[in-house]
Amino acid sequence: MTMDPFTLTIIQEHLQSAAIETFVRLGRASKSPIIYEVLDYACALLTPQGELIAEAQGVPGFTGVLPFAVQSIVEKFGRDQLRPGDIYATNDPYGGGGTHLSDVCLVGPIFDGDELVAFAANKGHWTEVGGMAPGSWTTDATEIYQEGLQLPAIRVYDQGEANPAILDIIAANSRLPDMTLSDLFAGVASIRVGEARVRSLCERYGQEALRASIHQLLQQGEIVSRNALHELPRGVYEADGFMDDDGLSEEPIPIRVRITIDEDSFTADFSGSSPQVRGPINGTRARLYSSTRVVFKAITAPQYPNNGGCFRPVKVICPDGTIFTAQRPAPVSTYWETGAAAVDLLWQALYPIAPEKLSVGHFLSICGTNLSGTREDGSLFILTEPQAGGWGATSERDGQNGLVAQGNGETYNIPVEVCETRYPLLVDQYAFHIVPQGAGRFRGGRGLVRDYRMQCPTGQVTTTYGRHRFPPWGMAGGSPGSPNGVAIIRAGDELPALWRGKLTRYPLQRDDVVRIITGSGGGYGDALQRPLAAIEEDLRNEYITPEQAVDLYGLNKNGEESCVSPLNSTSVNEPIKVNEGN
Amino acid sequence: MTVDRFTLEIIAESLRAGAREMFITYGRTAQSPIIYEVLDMACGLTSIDGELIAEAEGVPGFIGCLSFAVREITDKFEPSSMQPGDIYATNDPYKGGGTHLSDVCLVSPIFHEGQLVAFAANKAHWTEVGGMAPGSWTTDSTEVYQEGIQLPAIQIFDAGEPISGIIDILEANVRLPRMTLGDMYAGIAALRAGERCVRQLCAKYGYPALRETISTLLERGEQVARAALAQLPSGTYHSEMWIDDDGVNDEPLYVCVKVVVSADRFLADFTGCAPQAVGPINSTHVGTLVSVREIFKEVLDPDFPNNDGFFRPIEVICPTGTLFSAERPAPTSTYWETGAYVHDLIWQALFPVAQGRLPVGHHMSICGTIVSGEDEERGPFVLVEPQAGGWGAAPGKDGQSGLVPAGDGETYIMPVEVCETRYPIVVDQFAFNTEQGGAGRWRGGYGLIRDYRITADSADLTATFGRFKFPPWGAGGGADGSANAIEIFRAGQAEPELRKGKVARLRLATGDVARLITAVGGGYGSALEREPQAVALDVRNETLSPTDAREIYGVALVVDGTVDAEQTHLLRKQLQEADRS
Repeated sequence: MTMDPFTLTIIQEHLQSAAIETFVRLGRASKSPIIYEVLDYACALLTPQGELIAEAQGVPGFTGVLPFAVQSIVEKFGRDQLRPGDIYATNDPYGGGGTHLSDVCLVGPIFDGDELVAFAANKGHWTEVGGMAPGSWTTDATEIYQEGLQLPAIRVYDQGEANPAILDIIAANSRLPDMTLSDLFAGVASIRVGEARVRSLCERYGQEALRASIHQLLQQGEIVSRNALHELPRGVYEADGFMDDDGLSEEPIPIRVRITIDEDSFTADFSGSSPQVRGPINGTRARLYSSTRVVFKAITAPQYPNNGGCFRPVKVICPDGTIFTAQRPAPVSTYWETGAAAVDLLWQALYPIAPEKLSVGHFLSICGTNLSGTREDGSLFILTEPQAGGWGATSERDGQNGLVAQGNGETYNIPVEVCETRYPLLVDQYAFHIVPQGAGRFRGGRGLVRDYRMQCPTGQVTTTYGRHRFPPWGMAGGSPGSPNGVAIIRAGDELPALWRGKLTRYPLQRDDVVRIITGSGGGYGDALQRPLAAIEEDLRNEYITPEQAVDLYGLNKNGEESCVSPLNSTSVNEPIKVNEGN
Repeated sequence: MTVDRFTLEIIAESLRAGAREMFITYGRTAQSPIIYEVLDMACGLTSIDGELIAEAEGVPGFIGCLSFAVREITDKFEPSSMQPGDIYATNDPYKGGGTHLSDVCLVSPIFHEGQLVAFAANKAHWTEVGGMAPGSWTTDSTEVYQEGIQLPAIQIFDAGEPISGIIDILEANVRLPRMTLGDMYAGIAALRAGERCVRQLCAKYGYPALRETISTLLERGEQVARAALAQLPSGTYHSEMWIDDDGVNDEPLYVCVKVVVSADRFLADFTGCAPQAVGPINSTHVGTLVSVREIFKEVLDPDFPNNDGFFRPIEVICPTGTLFSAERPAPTSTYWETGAYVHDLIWQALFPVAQGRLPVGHHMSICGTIVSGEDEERGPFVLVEPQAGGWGAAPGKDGQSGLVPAGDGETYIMPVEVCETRYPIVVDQFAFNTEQGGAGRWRGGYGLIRDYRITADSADLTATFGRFKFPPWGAGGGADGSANAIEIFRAGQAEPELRKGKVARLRLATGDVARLITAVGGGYGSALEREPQAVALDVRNETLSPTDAREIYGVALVVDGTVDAEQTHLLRKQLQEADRS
């Protein structure tokens, strides 16, 4: 069927706006701040084959996983077993779930008459799915069975009717059943609106027109990607590095990638990376695809709306059982650190051929923070949030200050006002963290420091901050950034009791302060070549200290360029002094 | 209509046979050794109101537990909407489940000509239901959410068809899905056996005859119980004890009971017990009721076949939120230690009036032990077992040595040969624990010592040995027993690195030895009144040293091991005087 370009565009734009509507609906309906504030979720429409048609995303790593979710449902149930009104759920990390148990994918087939025409799907971080730790993810799990309730591709709604036993199981196994069920119902509402929009398109233009539009949309996505790929120099690009540790041992974890770009394909080979580890930072294959897609998109046609066609040239190679392709029952609850590490590896490998599209290394880690406690009245609260930090400089400008990590995409952190209203916490400070690291011709963006003061009798904090031991990378003589970490300052103390990347249910009492520090991004180019005007501007903005201007950028005490050689700007100082004896 | 007494007996016996058939079916078809070897299960039939008519149980702790599960189901689901082939499940500790998440109750309605006539029900310890620790129970959980998957009274089969998704969820959330699903299907087969029995009875005699038999049986149960109760001296009996700790904190926890016996009522009042604990030793209201039923039955008429009528005289008072009546989300995965205290408290309170039916305090703790790990040859392994120990003396009799505790009933321990064949473990010794304790006119039975030497690269040990700090009680001048304990010897070391009552996933390496020690039971009567010949025999059996024979029992032996009567007389006189001063 040939379509006039106007109708085609109308249908395609309509699909795009339908995807956005599913996204807005989910956010409006959820009771969990991590969904409605942080936007830790994604929604999409997909073809009956599970290819992405249109998406609206909070988290980029999520949309890349949704095709796998849809395919796992179709494989398990068979296309002819799907009925209008059905909704399926999966959070199986090794299958279609692709991430960790907290992220539940909901999938609804959309029918026009008897014909399956599309899927609406979403994936959200439900606040509580049970397991050994409140908030479900933790840094010391050693098996998936400790990480919450597993929903292995099951039918939750049968032709519009909820299965009461499944809802009861979800409620019974969650510490915050009201919130968790509301997350489910919000996801269902989102699917219903996607379903209604696609069906109205079918009514108006007919199934054939819809199918043809989708087909052309994906084809166009493929063409755009391939054209952009042709612009890139063919060749083999490699990077390797280390992740801090797995949360249980201190061993750094080696990772590597080898990217081959040729005429019509982009192949990322992660062979040689560490085997899966004992702690919960393992990633799985669906997420590895998703990570690869993220970087591929960034260096090809980042402005062009995502669809399945865009990714047809992408191939991923990785043996089973590695840190990127863990197998059951490996724990995965902080998988996102590994997903981000895969992105960063690809990013670093490709930086030399796409400096105009990529910045240098940023703080990278989502800096997942899970602060929970018991209020005076005995009720439980759980604050789950990612942190923002410093981005890397580019070859043309300074890095962004205080921006969420790449892996978190369009998400936000919880505003101080919301935090102080909803939780028994006071935010003593929320400021840029001014460290010597990240200096360069273009300076890395500043990380943040945030102090949470406990206003309830007892609580605990779990954190997983990557790049605590291996800071963000600089380029072309720019200095590496600074590490992420958490400091605990006991009530009445001046200095922190400890400074760590990962904490596991660390006990807290009233007036203890949890100080969260995120890294500065890496710098680009020699700091001594930074223009005087930029240094003065930084001084006025207090982005650097007068001492740093002297020590790192070679200014003399009078504010003039000096010939004194600066300190070695690549040295990584602990940004924090810790109480001795701890 | 009246059923003649012959028919009534036939129906009653058929119902009991039905319960037994369910039990055998479960045992024969289950995948978990804890079900088919240890018999950690109960099966039975109840009336449409959830009153237990007939039951077959392995562990006594499950006596009379099924009625609560059936009532939870009938409270939640309208019986009029039930259909033949429906199956419900619950393991909710705070409701009909009553114990811990590992014990899953299955319930199915039984129909005759479209009418609901009875329920079949069972409860069994499924080896694995997920959670933070392999084997699902552990000593360091602090919330029920860490203890496995919760099945909060849900329908799992609808008119004979599995409900989509539920079995998949079960399979995904347990470490040994083949075993767990095998246990579930075995439980379903057992329900079907019960259903078949009741339907055949209805077909043969009609539902009215069954209904009448049921109400007669329940009435008879009540009559038997009341008659036995009338034999017990009326009065108020007290007992109080300390539980070692909750596994997470180290403080002992106070528990007490007031038992009021009258001609028509048996009241157990637990007011005053410690609040629910942080660690997983909490028991729930239903669990406490079941433990009371257990000791009530033992004291009154252990031989009478179980039904709910028998338990009608029981009344239990316990404020909510205590160790014996914990509420969500308190962890309960080692609830059995606390259930054993419910039992032991009433036991001790009634000991003086129980007409020789009860011995004094025994090692009591099931001494639950898990050794898990991965072995190159065998792959992953999980050994789960209770331990046997020493029982208390009774007036007229020494305590039994090396017997499983009351809470374990008719269960068994694992033979050394099976252990060494199936697990990367060498059993260095399996011997009587004859350390001092339980001396008396009649002495406590001996506990056991078992040394597990690890031959795998590593293994994790989880164990919960109660009565580590507070040994079994003696009476009538008899001494208290010794303590249950776990000792860890690192490879090649002669001295233990630690001695504890509870450990959670303690890492052991090749050559390390876990020594599992169970207590000597309490003694009865003064040691100085023990028959000197019996003391001489203990010395000859090498369970008592000649020094202890002199110092504790006041018995002197000559070189060939026979009693020196004269010396003994003198010694005992001295010791008695020393006692008086």
